[in-house]
Amino acid sequence: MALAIGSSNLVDLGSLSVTDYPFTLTGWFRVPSSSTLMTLMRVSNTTTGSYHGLNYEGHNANQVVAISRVSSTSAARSTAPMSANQWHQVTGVFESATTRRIYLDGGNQTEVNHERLFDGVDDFSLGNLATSTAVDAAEVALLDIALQDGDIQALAAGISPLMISDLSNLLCYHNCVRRLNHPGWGPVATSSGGTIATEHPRVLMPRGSQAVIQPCRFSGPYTVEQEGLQTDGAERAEVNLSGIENVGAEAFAA
Amino acid sequence: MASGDSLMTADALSNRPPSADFATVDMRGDFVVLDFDDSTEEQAQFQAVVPSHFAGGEIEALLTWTTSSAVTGNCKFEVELVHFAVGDNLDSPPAASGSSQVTTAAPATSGDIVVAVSDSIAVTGLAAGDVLQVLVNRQAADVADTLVGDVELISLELREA
Repeated sequence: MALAIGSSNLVDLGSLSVTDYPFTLTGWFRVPSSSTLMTLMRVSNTTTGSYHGLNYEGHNANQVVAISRVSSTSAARSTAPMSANQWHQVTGVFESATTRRIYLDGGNQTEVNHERLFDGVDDFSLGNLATSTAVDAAEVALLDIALQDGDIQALAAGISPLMISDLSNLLCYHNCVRRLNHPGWGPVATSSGGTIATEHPRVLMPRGSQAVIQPCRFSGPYTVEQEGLQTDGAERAEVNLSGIENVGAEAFAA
Repeated sequence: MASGDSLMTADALSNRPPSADFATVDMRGDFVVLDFDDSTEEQAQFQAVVPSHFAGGEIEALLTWTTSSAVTGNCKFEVELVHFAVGDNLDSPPAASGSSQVTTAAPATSGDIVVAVSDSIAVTGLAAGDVLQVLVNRQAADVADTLVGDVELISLELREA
């Protein structure tokens, strides 16, 4: 189950250590049919008003963009539109002050090279902060590296972010299966209005290796080696079973 | 006796969903489950290596499940086993070696665990070390599936019959 997030229940991803480029925003998103702008994921500076994020431009050819606004905006727009009511993998790579890229479903890529100097961020949000119209989000992550094409294609193929990156680069991850923080990765995320669950996209979830169940059986023939020691009419015998050592047994003569 | 030996166990996280019409991952409390719709026929896929103690017998599947909310009606599952032997091509999967359908009633209380046990399925030529793919489908369009709402698959076990 993914989460449906609009301005009334916007998710605050907590305080993340994003101090400069590069960083990557990524996740699975599904938007309703709409002719308006919707934000998907954003990091911003509440003092200067600067921000970097992923937007859906329902008002402009339904493209998805990786946008940086520092005084003015620079946006890398996907070469294909995002289809309404369908899950799409969206990744924005903010590689440097002069390089940002957008990927839609692992491709449909564009890069722009306008200079936007990083001036710090202190707010990290998930969902549509523009209006109360919800966007569905799942498998969201923020990394402090510029993901490369191969990793982004893996994400688009359904691989979980937990399986494509060195976890030391992962600042934040939430699978958004029905709720936040179970446990997720990074600081505790909160929702201003409570979470709303919706169907999850197709993702290969990470899991550890599974132990092989082996039956435990003994097979014969058995070899019995017996030594007799008679004391006070009692015999004590040591019995060795094949494959098992020193299983002690006492036999008392009748 | 090999009969009754467990060959494979899988939970919801083991699912390798198909590209379309896949059972969706969900949480039931702290448990990860797979939701199967009551209208669209959805599928979960699991894969395993046949363990060394496999004695060559038929295989039965045990599906542990519950309902999202329903307390009446029946759920019909189908289990298909696909045998990948040495030389088979992953890009051209072989047809299923066998399948079994099982219909089980909803629990009296949503959240109660139900176990559905399939009939024995013969997989010709299956040997230890082979790859076995298990496809679990909810036959939502079948008249025998009368349960309204999602069914939540908790786990799967394959046993030697």
